[in-house]
Amino acid sequence: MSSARWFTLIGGLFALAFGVSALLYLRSRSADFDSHTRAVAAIGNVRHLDRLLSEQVLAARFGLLNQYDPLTATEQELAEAERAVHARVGAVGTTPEIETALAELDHALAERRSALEHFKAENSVLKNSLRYLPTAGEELTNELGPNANGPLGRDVNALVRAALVYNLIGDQSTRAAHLAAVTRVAAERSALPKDVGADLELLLAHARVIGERQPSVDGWLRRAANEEVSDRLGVLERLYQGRFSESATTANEYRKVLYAWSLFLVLAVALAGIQLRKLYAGLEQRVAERTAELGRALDALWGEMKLARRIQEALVPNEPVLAGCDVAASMKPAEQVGGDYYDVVHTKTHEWILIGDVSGHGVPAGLVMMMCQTAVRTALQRDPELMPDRLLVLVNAVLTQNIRQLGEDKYMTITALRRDAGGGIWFAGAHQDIFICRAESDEIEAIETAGLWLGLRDDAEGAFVPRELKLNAGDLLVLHTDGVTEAMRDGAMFDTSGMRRALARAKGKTARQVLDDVHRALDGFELNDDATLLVIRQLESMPLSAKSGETQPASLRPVSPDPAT
Amino acid sequence: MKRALRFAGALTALAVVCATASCSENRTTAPRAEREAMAAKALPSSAAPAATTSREPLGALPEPAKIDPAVLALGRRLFHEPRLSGDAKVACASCHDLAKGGVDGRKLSTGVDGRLGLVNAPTVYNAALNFVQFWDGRAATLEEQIGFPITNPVEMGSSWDKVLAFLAGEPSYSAAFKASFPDGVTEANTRRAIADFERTLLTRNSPFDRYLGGDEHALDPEARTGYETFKSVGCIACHQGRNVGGNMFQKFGVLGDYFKDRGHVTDADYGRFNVTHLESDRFVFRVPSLRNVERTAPYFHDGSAATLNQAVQVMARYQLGRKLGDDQVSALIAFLKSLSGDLAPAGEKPE
Repeated sequence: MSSARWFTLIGGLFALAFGVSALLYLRSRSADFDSHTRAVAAIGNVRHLDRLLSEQVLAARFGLLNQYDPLTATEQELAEAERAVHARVGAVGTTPEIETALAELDHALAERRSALEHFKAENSVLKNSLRYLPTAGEELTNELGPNANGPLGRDVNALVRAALVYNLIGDQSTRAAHLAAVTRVAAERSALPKDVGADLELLLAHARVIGERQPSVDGWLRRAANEEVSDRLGVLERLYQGRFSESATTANEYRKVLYAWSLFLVLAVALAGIQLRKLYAGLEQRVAERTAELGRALDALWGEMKLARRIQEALVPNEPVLAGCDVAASMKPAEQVGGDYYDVVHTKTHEWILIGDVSGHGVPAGLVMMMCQTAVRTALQRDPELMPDRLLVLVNAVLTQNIRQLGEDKYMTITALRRDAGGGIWFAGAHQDIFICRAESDEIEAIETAGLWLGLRDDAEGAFVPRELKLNAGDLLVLHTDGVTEAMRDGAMFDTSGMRRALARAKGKTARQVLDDVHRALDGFELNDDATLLVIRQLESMPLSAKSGETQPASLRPVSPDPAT
Repeated sequence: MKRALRFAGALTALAVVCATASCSENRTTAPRAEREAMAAKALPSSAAPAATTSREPLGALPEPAKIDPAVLALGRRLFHEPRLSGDAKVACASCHDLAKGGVDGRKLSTGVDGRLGLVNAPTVYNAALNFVQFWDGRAATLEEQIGFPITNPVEMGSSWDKVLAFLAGEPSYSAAFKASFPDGVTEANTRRAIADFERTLLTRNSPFDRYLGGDEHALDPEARTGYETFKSVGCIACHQGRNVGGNMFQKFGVLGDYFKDRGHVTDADYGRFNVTHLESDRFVFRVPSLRNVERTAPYFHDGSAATLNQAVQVMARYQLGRKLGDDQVSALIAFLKSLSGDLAPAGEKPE
């Protein structure tokens, strides 16, 4: 299974575990005890305010409360408490039965509010008449003057007493007595003068108000202070408590499942941890084995690199020989296998000196260098009379094709020098400057080279122009690669100026001594590329030896360690 | 595991017991204490502390509610804002001019496009102390009340959609709402701001309140006589409490048929009946507060009494069922004038 699938699987398992845990947690919280406490408190508050209101209504009826402000304040608080019951019971969760109970409670409270308002209005009217009736009776008897102690006066006083008693007792017999008193006084209306009759009408009006409003007030009182709200609250509370108990039981079950689930998760995580630990231990062993295998492979690779280096060293002439010349050469690759190339090839008629540099270094550069060496030697073997420019055209064709087949992005600088029997040297190809230290004048000449770099295009016809130089007895020819002039120290390059300074002391020295001088001058410089030096001193002006016409690597020839010998 | 479950269960049970006990404690202490304190004030029983308050059926005005100054400023501005109305000419203050005692002095108020209202505009001063709002008590709170005139076609003739669009589109209003409420311009916040402003409109420091506070000289002898008359002839049966009314409904015409005598009965005369549709509520109105009554003529829901004298006479005849002498009427008027308190500073218009 791919790592992406493993990741998806593990992620899915985590999401599943989280989802199940969240679900169980929410279900286990379905019975929220805080909300429950608030709901119970809200119901309790309504019950408390309901009782308080009943007390206040009774107090208002029997004159213990001389204003309605406390009632209205309690009414407003009761309305708020009613809203709180809806909100808090709703927060815990309702059922259709609870909704019905809430609606019935609302209805009972609304009925009560309505009854209360009617009670307040009626009670005020009743109280007003009760307050005024004795005054009206007194005013009437005053107007009766001497007749105050007569039947009417007595009946008026009896009416006042009957009204007050009726208000206090309120039963059928006191009501009957009150109505009878009203009837008696009313019967005497026609016998009175007009002004007294008006006062009597006033008295009777208030007496009738008492007769009408007393039962009305007590009726509203009973409705405003009845047990309806309390009963509805009881029903609601019972239903609510039952509902909450069910929720609490369910939540408790879920809580137990949640505990078990949590335990399962802990065990699963622990098992997973143990498995991972085992897996990790196996991985460590496999990594160690792999590391050892890689080490062995690296050793083998380095072995191959060393072999390639040895082949390269075998291909270039360590101590090349040129007729009538003192020759010394060195090559320091930047890595195990370098891209520098030099060679000395003897044909039947000419001696060839070649120096070049493949771009980059390492195995690919070394490979190109070897191809070049093979191509040069093959071309010269086929046609020893080639001019340098022609040679380079042929070598370029081979090299370009091979580089392309290798899939490498390589090119090569090269200068080919053909030394003729007469001592003249024809050269072609772009590489570094050729230094010539003239023995006669002690001057150092730097000859720029020109031409196409090899490996850039298949057809290099006309890209090289042969030029000629001459070496006289004692003249020193120095060829090098850019690894020498581009060596760095303290941010400064060795450069051609470094070469000139080293060569300025070359007079009278052997090629090897000159080479060593250059190497000493390079002490302290850091070589960032292959560095090759080829030093050739013309000992005498002499024709090319016919015996040295074999095209074989100079290194394969027996050489003496000291060219001076 | 079982032990852990038991332990957790015990902890939960303990928490529930503590929470319930705590809640029960709250329920049975603080609110009850308040209730008992109120009952002690109201019940002149031997159990009530003698020093808590006087046994007068009237009380002094309380301190105005403490309102956030930003909300108060916004409410004041909205109260005076004519652009809340359909024709951008009628503000709350148009009919409830704070400089004129919270009324416009007209028998019936003029709304949008010159339309005439159906009842006399009640004063906005001390309205916060009324147990319900409007003559017929159709709004339980000030917040509820505010929506009626805004949407009433003969009053401000607008709609909440238009009002909210205007407020949200006016940068100074939307900024003021943002500064006052987290959710900015909403209908509830608009109601709240105006209602909160109105809660500050209490006419405190009246001579009568100073008298109740112990200043014997705050009422002149005639006003004092008037107060005694007010209680003895029965006005106190309905006009009582700290707002001298405004805490109950009463039928207009208890001991006489006011509407038959006045004639030309309209739907508006039915009062509370228009809300409850109970026959017992026909001609029933919220008893108006008498505070500041000197400044709120004409009187009654129909604005039929141009003077206090006329109003007192009508009340004596139809509500009390008695004749009052001129001295009594004069004394009553002197007492009623002692109920006039300070209109400033809450009545100032915004800049």
